[in-house]
Parts: sequence; C-alpha cells; structure tokens
Amino acid sequence: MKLTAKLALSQLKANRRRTVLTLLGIVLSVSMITAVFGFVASARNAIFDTILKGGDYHVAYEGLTPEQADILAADTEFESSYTKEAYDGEHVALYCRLAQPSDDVWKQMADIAGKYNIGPFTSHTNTELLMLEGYAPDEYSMILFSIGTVLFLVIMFASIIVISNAFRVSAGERTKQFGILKSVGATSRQIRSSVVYEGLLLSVIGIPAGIAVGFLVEAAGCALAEYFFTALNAINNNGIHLKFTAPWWVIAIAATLAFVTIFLSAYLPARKASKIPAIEAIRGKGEIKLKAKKVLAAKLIRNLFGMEGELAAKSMKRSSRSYRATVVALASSVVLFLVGVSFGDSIMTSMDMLYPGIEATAIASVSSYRVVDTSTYDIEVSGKKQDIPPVPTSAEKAREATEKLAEYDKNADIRMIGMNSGEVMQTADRAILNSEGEQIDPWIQKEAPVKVTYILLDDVFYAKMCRQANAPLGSNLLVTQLMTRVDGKQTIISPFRENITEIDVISRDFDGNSVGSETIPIGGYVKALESELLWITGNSPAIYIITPDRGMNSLQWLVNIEDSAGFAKYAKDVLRDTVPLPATGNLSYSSDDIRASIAAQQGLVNLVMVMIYGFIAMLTLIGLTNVISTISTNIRFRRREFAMLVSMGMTARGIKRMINYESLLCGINSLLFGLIPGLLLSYFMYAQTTDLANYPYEFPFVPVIACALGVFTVTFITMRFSASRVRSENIIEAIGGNE
Amino acid sequence: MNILQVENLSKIYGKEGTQVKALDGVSFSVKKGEFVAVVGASGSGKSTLLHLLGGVDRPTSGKVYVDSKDIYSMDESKLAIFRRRNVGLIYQFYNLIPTLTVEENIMLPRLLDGREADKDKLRAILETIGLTDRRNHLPGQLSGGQQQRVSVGRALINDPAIILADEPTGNLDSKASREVMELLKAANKRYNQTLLVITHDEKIALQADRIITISDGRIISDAEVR
Ligand SMILES: Nc1ncnc2c1ncn2[C@@H]1O[C@H](COP(=O)(O)OP(=O)(O)OP(=O)(O)O)[C@@H](O)[C@H]1O
Ligand SMILES: [Mg+2]
Repeated sequence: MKLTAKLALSQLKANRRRTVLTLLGIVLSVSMITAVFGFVASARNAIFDTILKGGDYHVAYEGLTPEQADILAADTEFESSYTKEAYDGEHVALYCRLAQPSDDVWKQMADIAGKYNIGPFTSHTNTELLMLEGYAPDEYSMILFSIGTVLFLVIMFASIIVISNAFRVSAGERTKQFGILKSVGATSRQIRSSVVYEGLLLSVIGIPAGIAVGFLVEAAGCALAEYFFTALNAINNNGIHLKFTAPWWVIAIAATLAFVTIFLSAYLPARKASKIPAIEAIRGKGEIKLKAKKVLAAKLIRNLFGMEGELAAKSMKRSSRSYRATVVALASSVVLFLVGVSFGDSIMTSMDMLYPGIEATAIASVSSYRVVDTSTYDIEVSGKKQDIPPVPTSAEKAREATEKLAEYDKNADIRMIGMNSGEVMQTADRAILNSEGEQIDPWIQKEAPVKVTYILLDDVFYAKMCRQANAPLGSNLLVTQLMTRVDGKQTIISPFRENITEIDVISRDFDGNSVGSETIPIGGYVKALESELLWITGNSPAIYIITPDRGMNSLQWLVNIEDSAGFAKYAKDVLRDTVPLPATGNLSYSSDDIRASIAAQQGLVNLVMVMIYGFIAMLTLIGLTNVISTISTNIRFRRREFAMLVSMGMTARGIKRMINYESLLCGINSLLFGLIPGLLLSYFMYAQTTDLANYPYEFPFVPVIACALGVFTVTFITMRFSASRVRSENIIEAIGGNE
Repeated sequence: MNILQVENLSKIYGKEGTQVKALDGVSFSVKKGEFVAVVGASGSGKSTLLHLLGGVDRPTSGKVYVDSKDIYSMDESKLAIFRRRNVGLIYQFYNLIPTLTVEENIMLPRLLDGREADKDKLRAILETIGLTDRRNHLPGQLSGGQQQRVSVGRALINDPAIILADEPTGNLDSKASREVMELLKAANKRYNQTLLVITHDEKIALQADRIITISDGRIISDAEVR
C-alpha cells in the first residue's frame, strides 16, 4: 500500500469515533437529498400519469364541424391530434398536442384557427399538462418553483454544513498532525494526497450507503402515499399511484454534492497546513487563533455566575473559532427547523383555506326555501307576490332536533349551524366597515348596504364562542374575520370598524325597499380564524352575527360518528318528526354519509402532513448529529484544560457549572445566529404561499420556543455527557505527559 | 514536624501483561520548609511520584500524608479543595489555560477558591517573574520559558504549604533557569514553604537541602546536601 493511503487509513482508524460520526453525517445528508428528490420524481410521474389519463393534449377546440377539424388537424404547428364526437352528433372536438407551445397558448390557438378562417368555436387548454411539461410559466408554477428552490437550497445547505462541520471540528487537530508530518519530511503533495485518499475512502462508503438509505426512505414514502390514497382512489377512477423510481439524475445530484463537499472539507485544512511553517502548524497557530480580547462585563458575569461563569465567558470569547463549528451546527439546525415548520404551516394553512372542511362523517340538514307558485309564475314579473317566503325553524326546534340526533350515539360529536339571511334580504349600513371592508361586495351597488346573515349554533359551540368573545351567554356576537376572494386569491379580511356595539339591520323586499328594521346589540367579537367558522364566511362575504335564539332558514348538522351510514337513515326520520313541514312554505330534508369523501380528502391532508413532518424530522436528525459530533469533539479537544483546572483544585461541581454556562452562552449565540435568518426565511415561505391564499402572518412563537428549548437541551446534554466522560479520565492521563 | 509523609507508595500502570511498575514501595518524609530535589534517569518514576504527592493521580497502594492527613482517604471534591489550598503544582509540560491571559492564569487558584484578587500580591509576582508588561497576553503568545515562569507565579499566588515542581527549568536557558530557581527558593525561604523539585540539572539539585535519587521506581539514595 502506498504511504499516503496508509496514512489516511490510520487516520480514520485512530479517530474511529470521529470517522463514524462523519460517515453518519454523510449518509444522512446523501439519503435526505436522494429521498426528497426521488420522491419529487415519483410524484411528478404520478401526476403526469393522472393528467395523461384525462387526455394527452395541450389544447382543445370544441364545436367544430368534422371538415373544420380535418383542416385544423393538418396544421404543422400540431404534433398530434385526435377528435371526439360531441353530444349533438353533428359537431366534434379536436384535441391537439402543440409542437412548440408558446407563452400565450390561447393566442396561438386563435392564430392557427385564424389561418383557415375557422370559427366560432369554444376552446380550452390542458393547463396542468402544459405546466408539467414546463410551458406556461404562470403564477402557480412560479410559486412552486420558488418554494422548490428554497427547499433545494435548504437541503444543499444542510448537507454541506453537516459534512464540512464533521471535518471542521477536527481541523485544528489535523493541522497539527500535518505539521508533524511535514517536520519529518512529508511533502505538501504527500499530505494532500493522503487527505484526498481519506476523502475518497469516506465517499466510497458513505455515498452509496446514503443513496441506498435514501431510496429506502423514498420507497417507504411511496408505500405510505399509496396507503393514504386508498380512500381517494376508491372513489375516483383517475386515482393517483406513486410508484418508486430511482432516476439517474437523483443519484448524480446526491453523489456530486456530497463528493465535492467531502473533498473540499478534507482538502482545505491540508492546504492551509501546507502553507504555514511546520512548527506553527504543530503549535496549532494556523487553526485556532486565540485573541486576548477584553471580555466585557467580566466583573458582572463573575458576580452573577461566579468565577465558573467568568471562565466560560472568556473561553467562549477568546476561542470563538473552536466554538464556531458548534454554533454553526446549532444555528443551522435552528434555521432548518424553522424553515421546515413554517413550510409545513403555510402549506397546512393554505390547504385549510383552499379546502375548508370540517371533520364530519355524516351531515344532515333542514332548509326552508322560497317556493315559487308555478301556476302564476311569470319570468317577466320575476316572482313578486306569487311566491311563498321561507319559514324559519325556531331555535327551540333546532335545539330539540340536535338533542334527538345526539341520542343515536352518545359518543358522537355533533355540531349544529343555522343560517338566516332574511326573507328576501336583510342589510346593514356600510358605515360599520373599515377600508378592508371595501372587499365586501355591496348589495345592488356601491355605497349600498351589506348583507347580514344570522347564525345559530348548538349550545356547546355557542358557549365556546361566548367564552372566546368574553361575552355573557345570550349575547349577539359579531364575526370579525371573513374569508373572501380578492384578486382571485382566498384572503382573510377583518372588515369592521372597532367598538361596534350595535348594528341596525333592515329587512328589504326585492326592490330594496325597507320593510322593517331592528337594532341588534353586539355583545362581543369572534375571530373566524380561531373559531372554525371561516368556512362558513367563505360562502359569501357578509356581516355574520351569531345570535342565541333566532329562527333559522337553514340548519345543518355536522356529525362525527362511528356508524355514519346508520346515522344518515336515522337522521332523516328524526328531522321529519321534530321539524315537520309547515302549513305554508316548504322544507327540504337531507342526510348523507360522507365518510368516504371525507376519508379521501383526509388521506391527502395526512399525506402532506406525513411528508412535511418527515422532512422536519429528517432535518432535525441531521442537525442533531451535527451538533452532537461538534460539541463532543470540542469538549474532547479541551480535556487537558479541564484536567488542568481539576488539578488546580476545581471541584467536579465547578467544572459542571462552567460547562453549563458555556452551554448557555453557546446556546444564546446559536439562537442569535439561527433565529434571524430562520425567521426571515420563514417569512419568505409565508410570502410565497400567500400568492395562493392570503392570510395574516403569525409570528411562529411556538416553533421559536421549541427551538430555544431544543438548542439548550441538546447543548446541555451533549456537553455534560462528553464532559463527564472526559472527567472520568485520570487527570494525568488527560494532561498527558508529552506534547 | 513532617509536612509530608509517604508510606510504601506504589504505582502500576497498564493491565496484566504490559504492566509498568512506575513506583515500587517508596517511603520518605519531608519537613516543613525543606527544599528537596528529586533526581533520576528518564522514566525512573519522578513525575509519577510528584503527581501522587499532589493528589492528581491515585496510587495503586500506599499512603500519602500531608499535614498528617491521609489525602487519598478524601473524596474527589475534598481532594480538589485540598489541592487548591495546599499544593502548588508546576507540570513538566502543559501548564496554562490557553484562553486565559497571564494575569488571569496566575489568579486562577484564588478565583477557584472564591477569593478576590490580591492586587498587590499579583503585582509583586508579575514583577518577580518579569512578565509585568506581558500580563495581558495569552499563553500562546509567550515563549516556553515565559510560560514556565507563569506557572511558577501561579503556584505561588495562594501561598501553598507545598510547591511541587516537575522540571520547572527544563525548557529554559541557564539565565532564565537561574531566575526561576531564585523565585522558588525565595518563596521557600521567605514563607517557609516546602519545595520539592524534580530536576536533571545537577547545579539545581545541589542548591537543595536534600537530594532523593530514584531509579526504576525505588529510592536508591536520600542524602542531605552539605
Ligand atoms: N500513563 C502511563 N501509562 C503507562 N505507563 C506510564 C504512564 N505514565 C508513565 N508511565 C511509565 O512509568 C514510568 C515512569 O514514568 P515517569 O513519567 O514517572 O518518569 P520520569 O521519571 O518523570 O521521566 P522523565 O524524566 O523522562 O520525565 C515510565 O516507564 C513510563 O513509561
Ligand atoms: Mg517526568
């Protein structure tokens, strides 16, 4: 074996603990890259498959004559095409793949048809396919792209940090060894090639292992997805099936990234050592630069934390270089965690908003609707006197029905929501709105009043709302947040002025004339976002007032129940009994078992959750390995110093306290460096998803506190653990006679 | 009165098969204020003996009494407090905390004992070791001899009953080495501190009151200097 190879091997063997940690770091980061990209690839394939099942075309012309279709299909701008007969039996639809889709596909379609003077026709485009094939960079794909880029960068950053840190912590030690090698006559080239060899050895073991683990994780992810999609695929024949793929580009990215990082991390200390004189390398001058910095407030620290605190502060301040690896490791874990969590949060919130739903397995409703007397009905007079207005169901009846429904299964969760928008329309003046309230469409025209809807809730839910609003039971509560579409995005708005104590509600007829008015006192405010009422407000933006005892035109029971099918049957009869048909007017009853469709939707949500938490867990794991390896190496590195202190009479408790203070300082430092970029990135993630759904930014207090706790716990435990191992060594052995 | 008494002290390093008997049944005693030189060939067990006297290692068998107290009957934290109050140790090699300045290194034993810095004493010590203008430097910025002088200063700051020095002049030229020895001897005379110095330097050994010679872990001679 060549000398350099021998040196490299002996290095790896001598520092077995470090080698294992380094390998672990390499395997983890390579596997994360592989798993994430592998999963992206298989998801992309699955979506492709699903979309192609809907038809392999970019654009479609509908309502053509067969002759027109033939002429168009022959155009060279189309790569392929097929026709489908329309229902009328006369016309056809032409589905085409464009050879080169332009930025504006609609215009392209019209231009092609224009060449042959063909028209009129209706047209549509297969946006999803165009997008997946990389055309039509619309808003949505830009968002995906920028989020994807951030995630990619985060993953890259994490892997580079982990691998390079594993080398960096030992850089000082290594520089010294290189110095010794040089002083016995090794040339810089020999040193470098031994390092390169070392990097190669680590890569040969770590990278394939990482790729293998990564693909295992991907396969598990696919199996998990299949499991979560079972319900969805059962009710949808265009189901989504994630199949495991191992594309070469995933392997290439993972391997290249890891190899370059390993190589550079191993090479840089060697180059440094070859540049400075051997003796300086031996004395560690090249690496850990200590500076006799004045430690500010040393007196204060001593008074507060004793001399152990002072020692800790000095050590931190003056050998900041050797702490840097630890601080970088901790800070980057904080960044990764915050990005992961806020990514998850934004996805979850926007999913909640885009698919507002409530957990229920069965749903029952009673609604009274306007009945038009068909015998006298006339389009021209658009139902003025001929129709019968809806008859509200009284609050007592609604409560009675709720109780009866609950009897079916004591363990079921029942939520009742009633709504009443008046006989024809009831409104309030726009004066109670603030500037955000302009988003609420006026009834009839601008400056005109806004619609008012009363809400009735079951007793439990209502009591909860009163508590939230800090209002006594029996109060009317105003819902102060609404969800509405602004510029095509779901947006949460707070449209009301402050301190509204009463609202004048005017009932109106079809012409908008007032037919009566009432002043409703407002006892408190409820935020829709906190109260699970958001989805109701999403129906149509209006003034929603929760009232305790008003009759309701429509009543809905959302029920989370084990036997949803049985309940659906039971509910139909119960509702007919408790809320009978009124003498005039009409009522419709319905009750459905919605378990299957909820399960399908839930499957999708669960999958996203699992993916996100899996991602966060992976990042946290990587951060943790990184932190543990740097801290423990750093402490081992200083065992002489500890031994020295002990031999001068520092007690075990003193050492413990000093280490605690060091952990504390190290943790504070890391939080400072981690929280700021972490929060910035988390805001960036939020800003990106608001392009899909607008919601207010919330400072991630819980994740930040979790980070702080995590950072301190990990530092304390690791430092204490490594130090206790060092302390159990004999003082003299630690000091080591010969340097 | 004997400040130090050693009874049948043995130290065996390593496990079966590769055992090294570094000390083999050593017994002697030292009177308060005495200056003892320990000499012997390299690897004879001098450093091992010194470490056992200072309470920084554990003997395989035998006893060490300081001021009639059996130091190895104490628990770790009692032993630590004992060390900081009674023993000034100067190691053969690594001595200083790299992140503390000269001044802070010297003050360390006082700080450890929770006592305030005695500014006058510090100034006097810095003066005697000749590092007043270097007091804010870190060990890494000092020469080997200067570092050794700092560790002498540190051993003196707490007025320990016993100063144990392992080749304090090993790295120094003759002038510097004379200075360090003067420092130690002055402390020995002025405060009646007991001084035990390991040395290879015959001239230094001859300045002592008494020379103990060790070979292969045993005392082969113990003689007063005339
Ligand atoms: N930690 C250890 N493990 C095993 N053997 C040791 C250890 N420390 C010292 N020895 C051995 O014990 C013997 C005495 O060592 P010691 O350090 O006491 O010698 P010394 O007299 O101080 O030598 P020198 O003058 O070279 O400093 C030597 O043979 C040495 O190899
Ligand atoms: Mg020795």
